[in-house]
Amino acid sequence: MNVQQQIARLESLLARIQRNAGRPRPASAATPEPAVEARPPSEPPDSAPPTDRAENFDEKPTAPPLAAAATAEAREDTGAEVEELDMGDDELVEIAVETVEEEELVAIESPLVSTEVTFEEERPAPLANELAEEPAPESAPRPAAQVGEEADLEPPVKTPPPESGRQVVAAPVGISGEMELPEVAAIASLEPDLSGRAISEAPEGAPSASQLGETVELEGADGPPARIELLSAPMNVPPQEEIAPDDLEMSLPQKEYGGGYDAELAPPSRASEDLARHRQQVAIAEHPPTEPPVSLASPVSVASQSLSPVDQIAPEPGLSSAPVGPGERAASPILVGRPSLGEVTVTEMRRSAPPELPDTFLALLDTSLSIEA
Amino acid sequence: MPGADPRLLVPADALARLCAGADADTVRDFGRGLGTEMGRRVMGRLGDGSSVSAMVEHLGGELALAGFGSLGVEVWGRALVLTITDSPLGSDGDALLASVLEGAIQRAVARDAAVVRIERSNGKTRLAVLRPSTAESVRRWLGEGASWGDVLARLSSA
Repeated sequence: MNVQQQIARLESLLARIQRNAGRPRPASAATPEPAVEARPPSEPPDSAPPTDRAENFDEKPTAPPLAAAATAEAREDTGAEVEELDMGDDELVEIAVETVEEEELVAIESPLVSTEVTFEEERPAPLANELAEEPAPESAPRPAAQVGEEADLEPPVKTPPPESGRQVVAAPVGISGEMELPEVAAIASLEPDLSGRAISEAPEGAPSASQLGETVELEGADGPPARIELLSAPMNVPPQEEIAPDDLEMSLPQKEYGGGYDAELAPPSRASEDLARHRQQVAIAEHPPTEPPVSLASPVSVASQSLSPVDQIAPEPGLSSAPVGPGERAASPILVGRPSLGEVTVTEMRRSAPPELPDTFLALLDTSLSIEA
Repeated sequence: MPGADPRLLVPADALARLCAGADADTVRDFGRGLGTEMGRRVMGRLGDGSSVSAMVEHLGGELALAGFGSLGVEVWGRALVLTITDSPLGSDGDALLASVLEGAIQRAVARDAAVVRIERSNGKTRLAVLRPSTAESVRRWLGEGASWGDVLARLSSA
């Protein structure tokens, strides 16, 4: 039984209830409730002018069909005669059970329809008078609460938290600028996860999202693992066999040979000269020559022949007390002096006395007054 | 000014014309009288053992207050030379300046000294402080045409 059939049955039931409500009823033992209590608390006072809405409120029943049935049962308990509530089994409709079953089926078929069915489930049960009325056009004014409920029809924009479990979210259609995935067929072939677990919970045998992280697949990951070759020498490799020596090669003396000279070896030809020169250098080092060297500032020939007046720097009187060894005398330089010009005085230098200012003005004045001319 | 007689402000030109019209002895007496008062005040502040800089400061202050210019000291060998810069009397007032310095020195340090102008250039007058006999020789050298450098050299070699 689909929804349309349920609506038709409910409408027929409502028509019968209204028709029976118009018939005269016998007086019951129950105490009638005051009419004032039937009015809602927001009803305007009697002094206010009557409106159509107030009249409609009195005419329309406020109890739903199920509530009317419950009222009928209460009347049976009180002894009241109720004829109109004799309904056949075929007229009873289990709306809630069938609706839930249909919702599950539609949820599997289309997520978008599932959202709408969920909305219908959240709405309260319709009143009898609402079922009888014709559906209002969309352009008609609606209360704010209804507008808010329609706003809930939109699919959730934000991703629900993983703790809320698996949810079926309708894919937005017709959004400009959105890129379509290239593998639409592959995505369509994916099966929905109806396990009801949280997204963060990984299925059994598979790594969780926290374990995977941002794993990047590298090329060649499916290949065999690489082998690392160590540069060190292998430990278990057998030693290579010694290569047989060639006939043209000469074998070097082995470590068993402790060294030495061959008695048949002849000394080098210049050995005697080198030995004599070495002995001479040793003798010079032990007894250095007493003659001083010639200064390099002048040619040796000139210094030894033409420049006979060779003067050595005379040490100052205060510094001549220390004896001079033969090595130090040889290291002292020899200076060649300029030829003397005789008794002619080239220039005369006088050292000027620094001006000394007297301590007092009177002393300065006396010095000046001492000048006699 | 403490310890000073009543003063009269006289224009420098009027004083210069007065000195030019008076004889040398009159100008000398007038100058010595001015210098004696300056030396007395300086001596009352410094004493006998005053330094050269202190004497220049105090005696120069007295001369500046009197309007004779700025005092300085130069030592050429043994000779003491006093300099007066920017004197409003000009070259005509050098004799008066020499008389003022003679009176101040005589009163301040109790020495009979003769002050002789040996050179004047660029508003600066050089006055040698000598004994009176030496001062006469210097005047003679200057009269003979000797330069002030030769005079100082002769004084140094004397």
